[in-house]
Amino acid sequence: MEPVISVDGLRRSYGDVVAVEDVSFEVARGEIFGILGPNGAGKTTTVECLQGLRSRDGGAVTVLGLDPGRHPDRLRRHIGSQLQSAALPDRMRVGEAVSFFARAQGRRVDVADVLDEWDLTPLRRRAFGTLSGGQRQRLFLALALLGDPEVVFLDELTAALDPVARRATWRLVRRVRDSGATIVLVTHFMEEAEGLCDRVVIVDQGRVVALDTPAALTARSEGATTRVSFSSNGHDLGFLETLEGVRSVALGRRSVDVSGASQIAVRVAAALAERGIVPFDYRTHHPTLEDVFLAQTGRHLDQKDQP
Amino acid sequence: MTLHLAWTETKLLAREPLTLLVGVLFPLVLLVLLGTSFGNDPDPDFGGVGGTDFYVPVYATAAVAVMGLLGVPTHVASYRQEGVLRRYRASGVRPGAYMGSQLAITTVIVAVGSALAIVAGFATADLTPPESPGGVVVGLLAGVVAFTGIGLVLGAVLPTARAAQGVGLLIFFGLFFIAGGGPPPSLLPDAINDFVEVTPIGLVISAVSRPWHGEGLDTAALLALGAIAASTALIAYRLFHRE
Repeated sequence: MEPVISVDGLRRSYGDVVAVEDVSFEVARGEIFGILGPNGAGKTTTVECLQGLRSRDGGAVTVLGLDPGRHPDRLRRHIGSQLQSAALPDRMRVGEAVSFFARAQGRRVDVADVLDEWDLTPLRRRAFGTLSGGQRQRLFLALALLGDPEVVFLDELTAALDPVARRATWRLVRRVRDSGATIVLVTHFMEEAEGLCDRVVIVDQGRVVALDTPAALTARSEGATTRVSFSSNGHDLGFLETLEGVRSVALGRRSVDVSGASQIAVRVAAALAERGIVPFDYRTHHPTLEDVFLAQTGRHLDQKDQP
Repeated sequence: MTLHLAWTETKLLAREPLTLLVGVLFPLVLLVLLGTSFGNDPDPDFGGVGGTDFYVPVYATAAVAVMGLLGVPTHVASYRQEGVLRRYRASGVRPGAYMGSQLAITTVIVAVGSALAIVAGFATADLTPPESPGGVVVGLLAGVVAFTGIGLVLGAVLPTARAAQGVGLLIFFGLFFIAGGGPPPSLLPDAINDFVEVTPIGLVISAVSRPWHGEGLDTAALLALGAIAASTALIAYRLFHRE
């Protein structure tokens, strides 16, 4: 199937600073595609180029068959966007914002329906400046989705939210995808990319580090291992080293750490149960995208790398 | 779109009346103070006209300067800073439409501000009506277009709303009171009078005062204001497009 978005060798610099060095990927219709990377990796610049909000220095970009650099206005009629840290005027009311942006985008929209759909009706007359973080994001999502765009760009949608509001926002994003839209989600939260995205491109310093489904990325990653830990309670645990897949066993004074291939979670549990050892605090740690990033770049995701 | 935006922006402005009140009422209070202390008898210090007759046309332009140096720049800078402009642009609101809405709002505020100055003149002293009302309107309009342009450029260039406010206050107080808003020009050194004559504030005051006192249109000032308007509009348009 023809991809909805294709990016090939995208390049963009600001003066001497290269924000995007070489980024390529394709997005299929109906997927939630994640762009994951630390601050300053070039994620926002990339999606701004895709939306025709920024010019590019090199590479080819096609969104819905259009070149965003050449036809930004035509493209804008078919996409919705949530920009990073782009507020509304403090005194603009929720209902006003919906009708204003619907009109700005030339979209025929029933304001009351939109407000209802996003549970904004009770907030209709509230000013933007008085909304909570979660309420703002709900409004931004409603605005990004006015008139059912085919592709929706969401840039750091949940960065300013507490965990509860973040989870609620994820549910909304899934709902949008279920309605048929293709979603490009920019985030620096590993958990968000892992839980929400069908496929993820990991970007660092303007380059693609990895590109695949979250499961494939974590399974393939070399440095990333599954770990199991529990209280040793004075048991003799030497047998653990003989289990298939176990690479190392670290016996601490009170607890033990076993690491190895992903199957060890089950093997260790079975071996313990067989010997009548039933620790109350058996924990497994599977590799995450964070580990993938660490293994690929030697740095953590939340580490800033901007000069 | 420009009209819709202007209407929305006007509603937002009306909900934040403090800027408006300070911008319009502060000059008005000063005008009343000046008018009542100088009276309106012909006075050589004011070039032969009465104090009130001198100050009313000057203060009719106060709203032009306040909007161009304070209102528009702080508004634009805060919209830029908070990303409202990016959001507008991503939603298909063109920079031209946004610029147009600022022009519309400035026009409305200036209409209110200058009307109040004239009413105050009639109320506090026996104001002589303008010799050429049409000429006064032309002068005010030229001022509105030029100062909206100046405001847009300042707002696009200055980094934050706070910076815009600081710079705006500095320019306004630095110029308005030596350009006629303060002591009578004949009491100021020639060097200062020569200087303010070529500043935008001096130009708009002259473009309004001359037809008011029956000295005909100040063509040179009108042309200069037109040139300022055209160049600032062009610069602002470029800056907003790059943003």
